[in-house]
Amino acid sequence: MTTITKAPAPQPLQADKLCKNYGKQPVLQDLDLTFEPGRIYGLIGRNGAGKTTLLGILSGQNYATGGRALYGGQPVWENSAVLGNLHFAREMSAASELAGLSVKNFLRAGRLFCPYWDQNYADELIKKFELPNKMINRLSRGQMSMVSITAALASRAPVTLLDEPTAGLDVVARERFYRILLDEYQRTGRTFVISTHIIEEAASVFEKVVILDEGKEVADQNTEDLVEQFRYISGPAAELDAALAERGITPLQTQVLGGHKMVAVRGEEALFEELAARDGLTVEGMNLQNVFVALCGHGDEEG
Amino acid sequence: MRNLVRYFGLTFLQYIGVVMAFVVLVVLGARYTPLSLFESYTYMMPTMGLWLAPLTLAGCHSTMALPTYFGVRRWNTFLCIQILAVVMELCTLALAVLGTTLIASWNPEYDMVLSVGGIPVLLAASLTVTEMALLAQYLPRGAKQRTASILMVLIMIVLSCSITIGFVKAIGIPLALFPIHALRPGWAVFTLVCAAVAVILGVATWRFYRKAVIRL
Repeated sequence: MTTITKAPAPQPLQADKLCKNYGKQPVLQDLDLTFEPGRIYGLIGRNGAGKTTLLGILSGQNYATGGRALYGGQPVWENSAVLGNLHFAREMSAASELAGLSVKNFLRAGRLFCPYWDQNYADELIKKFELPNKMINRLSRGQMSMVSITAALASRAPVTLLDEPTAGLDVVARERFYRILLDEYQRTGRTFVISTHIIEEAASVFEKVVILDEGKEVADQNTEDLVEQFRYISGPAAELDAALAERGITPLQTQVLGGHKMVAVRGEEALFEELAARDGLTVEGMNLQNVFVALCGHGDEEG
Repeated sequence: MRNLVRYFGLTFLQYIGVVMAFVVLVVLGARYTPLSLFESYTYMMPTMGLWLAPLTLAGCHSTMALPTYFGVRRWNTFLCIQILAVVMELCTLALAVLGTTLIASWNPEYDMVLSVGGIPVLLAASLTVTEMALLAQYLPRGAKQRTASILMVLIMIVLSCSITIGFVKAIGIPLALFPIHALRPGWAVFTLVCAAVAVILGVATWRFYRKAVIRL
């Protein structure tokens, strides 16, 4: 009979002035960040923003050039007492070094090394995802993601970091994944940090969101609070420009279509009410994906 | 550490199974067939640690990445693979000595190329090649390819030498350096140089592995 060791409650996971350079290329720059225990975080950023690097360093799978990762106040790097509490599920690739391993042997390693591994749960997930016991390099991209998810969830690590967990998954499988994740979260209160590019689909799952841009944190807030700070303002270009100039507002993003203009703006509810009261201007809410584009699009102007 | 031993134990068992099968085949072949082929193989047996173990352990990069992926300290994984390398080499050489001794005991035509005294010599040489194979896994791409090429050349030299020795022995020409023994001056120097190089390569492997990004 397999004995399952009950996982302890999660602790805060902290990036303390983290820096990472690949050669001369800086990827993370003096990053200070705390992932509070028992929450589901969304980690979003453009390609190359440093999401995978950050998750790798936080889990001890990557080496920081400067600063340190802390779990419950203790350094993560090479610390046995801490490493067992963290699991970082990376995106798998058919060309990877582990691709010659069978699904069974991959999960066998999880059972051996993860202190809170739940084999019954792993078996249940294998059944739910209908995973075949093939070599990893013979699986489809979606099935590789399922293997990664299975190991991450069955590890029962108090803090679980998932890098692009839904890559290659079809809509049905993605929905199933988020259902399973929420169910597991409700049952255990584990901390989940999920990095994804499919933002809108996952937005409702994220309690808090961290946005990285060029190795720096540009947002770390409750998802709803963050989205509430942004609006699209649209209307005739001349009137809109005048309204923005009066209030000294620099738009985050601008789209122009003929004489019509739409801008993304960050501000308070009172400001949005004032703008909405002006003739010809329309104020619309944004979703998380729009907010992300506004923050990380660097003022992209579209015509 | 116990779980690491269990994990790498599988690699060890697979490896030692192949070595045992080879030794048994050669011993039985030499005992019950008149084929000179097995004589050549007898002389090749001691060199198995020089190429088979590094090739097996080079494929262990994946298994070295896996424990770290699941939260094992890098130092523990590194230490375990080092111990595994020494145990694999020692078992290979012990089996080779046993095999050649058996063959020589019932067939005086076979000259002993390796005795117990020769084990430190081949152990040092094998560990040098093994450390180079491990290091090659963690070097940047360009350096990795160059080291892998050097490794392949070394392995080919070892194989060619062992086959040549087999043929030379088969036609009865005595070789000055044989039997291999750690106390003979030439082999003693060779052993010390190999051991020093193995240590340097081992330290370099740790330095690269310590900072390596674990990928899947």
